Amino acid sequence: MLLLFDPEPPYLRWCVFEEGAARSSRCLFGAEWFRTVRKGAGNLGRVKGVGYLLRHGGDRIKEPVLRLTPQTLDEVKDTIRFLPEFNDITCKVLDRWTQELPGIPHFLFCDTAFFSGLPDVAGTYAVPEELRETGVRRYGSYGLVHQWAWEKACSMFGGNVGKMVSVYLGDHTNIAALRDGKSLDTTIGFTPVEGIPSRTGCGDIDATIVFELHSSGMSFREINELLSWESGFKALLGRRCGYRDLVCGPAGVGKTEGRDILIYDVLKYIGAFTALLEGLDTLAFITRHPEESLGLIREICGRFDFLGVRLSPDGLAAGGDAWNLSDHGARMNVSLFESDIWKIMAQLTESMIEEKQP
Amino acid sequence: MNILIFNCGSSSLTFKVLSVDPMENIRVVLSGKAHRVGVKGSKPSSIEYEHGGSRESVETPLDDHGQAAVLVLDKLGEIGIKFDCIGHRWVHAAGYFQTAWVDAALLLRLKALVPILPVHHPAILRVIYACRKALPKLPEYVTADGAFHSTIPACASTYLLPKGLVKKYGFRKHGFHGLSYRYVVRKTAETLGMPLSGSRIVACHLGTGGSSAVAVKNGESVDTSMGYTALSGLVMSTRSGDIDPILTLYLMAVFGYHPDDLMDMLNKKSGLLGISGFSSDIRDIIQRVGDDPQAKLAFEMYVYRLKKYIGSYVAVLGGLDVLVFTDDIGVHNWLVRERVCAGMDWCGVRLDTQANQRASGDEIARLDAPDSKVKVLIVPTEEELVIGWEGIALMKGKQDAASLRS
Repeated sequence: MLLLFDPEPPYLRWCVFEEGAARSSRCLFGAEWFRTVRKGAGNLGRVKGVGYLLRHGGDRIKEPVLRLTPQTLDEVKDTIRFLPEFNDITCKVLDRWTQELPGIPHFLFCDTAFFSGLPDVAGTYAVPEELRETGVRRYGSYGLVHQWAWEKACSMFGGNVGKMVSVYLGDHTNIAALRDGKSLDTTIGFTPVEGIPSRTGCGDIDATIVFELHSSGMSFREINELLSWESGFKALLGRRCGYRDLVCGPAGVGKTEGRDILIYDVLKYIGAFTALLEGLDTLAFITRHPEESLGLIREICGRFDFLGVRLSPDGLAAGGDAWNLSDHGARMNVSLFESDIWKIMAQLTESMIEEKQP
Repeated sequence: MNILIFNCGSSSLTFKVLSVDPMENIRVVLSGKAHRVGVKGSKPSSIEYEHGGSRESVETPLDDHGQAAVLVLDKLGEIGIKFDCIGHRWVHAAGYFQTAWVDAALLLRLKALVPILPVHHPAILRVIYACRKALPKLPEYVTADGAFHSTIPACASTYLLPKGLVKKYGFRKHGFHGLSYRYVVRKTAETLGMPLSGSRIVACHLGTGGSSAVAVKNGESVDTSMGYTALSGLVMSTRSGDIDPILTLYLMAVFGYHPDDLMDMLNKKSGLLGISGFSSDIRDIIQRVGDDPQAKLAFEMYVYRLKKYIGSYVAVLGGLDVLVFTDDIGVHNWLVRERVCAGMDWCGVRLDTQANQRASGDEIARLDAPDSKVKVLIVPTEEELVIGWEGIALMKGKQDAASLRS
């Protein structure tokens, strides 16, 4: 049995993973979180390993999976300044659980690690060196999922995958450019706020806006709250502003507008990444909601007719988690993968535990 | 009819006197530029005039744009060039006007727009006031630079911020270099004998100060790289272009940068200057690409960001017919064009590298290889001519109104 954690402020998502199946829950990250998880986890004696997702590895953590030791704990704490709301939860959770279960291995999953090797041309912001020295660069995120998608695409299309754009569709839609398994660029920047608007994050905006809000009397904390938690699709749709609210059900005023923006931004970034890859052979979509996403994907792919994207008219065959969407003889590989972060974390944890055994 | 046009840069003032015949053909009677206005440096400030086939440059202290305008008006009086109205380029009208006569009400509105562009707008206002003081009876008008981008659809211009805030501050993508793009698009269609209807053009205005790119469909702007202000988009000479808005908060909250200082750094010390550490001039940077890793990175980032924008606009337009380069760097720097067009086969761009290197940059030139699906052009821009086009239309309206009254 594995115990896995994923911060999602103001919540903590956690899961008991046993015999290939995930039992996932979510609780408010307040005074009661530990008691709630403990009660829900059942017999702790059966836990073989604990895994924690770190959304931002800062400038020091560059391994996708790391076995936690007292030294690494300090390094993890140093990342809090990069993404306080998320990383603070991860730190508190791992602090508590390493104390609670000292005898078993604990692993840190770093979601920015896959992008730590971004070429300088993509990873650098065009600001003075003095500012770059503070750790300001493009870190990306969702690296575990994009790396996993690359492997899935390679096993689906064999040797025909070289230049791939990987599109994660969800509450926090984001896109990565990959070449031969390495990341070349991503929509997510210094923080996950940059890029495509998310459920509550504003996405790409003119940075002058920050200064204008500040001079109108807002504090840094308030501006951060506003751009990270009160913007994005929430600004259009109100409380029900998740990815599924946007893509499912009948059209509405804010919804049509939101869907148009999402499609438009995905379109732009696929184009931008095709340019830096100097062409494309594989377009991979990843989502937790494949059926609900199919209409959106068809709409996006319809705009790339000129690149040789042609989809098969068939629906998704039942029972799988990976679908080849491209039509016979189409120039471009198009695939859809159903992602489950718990499965990805569990697989990695199990392989790490096995590795350590004599 | 003669029109005097003033076009303010951050440290320069371009001017032209256009003569318009009854068929509305435009001829440039005099042109010139004031250099290093308000700049304290080792090189002296000067005003350059070109008139009747001769060139003249006068070294003179230039404290601000208003003073430069007064000197230009004096010079015109001296030569004996008369004009019927004065047109000014206004940068950011926040959607209030495209072209309008300057009167007391408009001046109030213009003053309210100063905070959006705290360098350019006060400079333009100084020129307007200098003209009103010197020639109180002469009509003056302003033409807004951003009007060309008013056709950008909501999905491209909206920032997903709380609606109340957007309404209160007017946060949205405005875009800039609109006059330049209007000129370039019209000239592109004329040069290629191509109808604008159904056409897909990406134009890159690469200036020694600001740079941007635009996606043009059916002759209309559908997206552009600059945003609410001129800070976002491409890597520019001293502006950072796109950055994560949260990183500004990180620098202020965690490292204690003062907002004014940081804003200044992002606008005046970033971009090519920020990366290279020694120059904002791409020519200096190119010279040191071979032996200075920071110079190499600066040049590569400049090209890389532009390539990404072109790619995203190709996707938006669903393919590409014409790629156009304009303004100083766009027309004069063959290496930038060569690098940008390299590896663009995927969208049909193939550069004729020899034609590209040979192009003088002083006139319109075709640079695409014979087997290129996309036409590649350089078109030297003429923002002042567009201000002239607007002035002709305005004066016509005035004459019509006068004839109705009489």
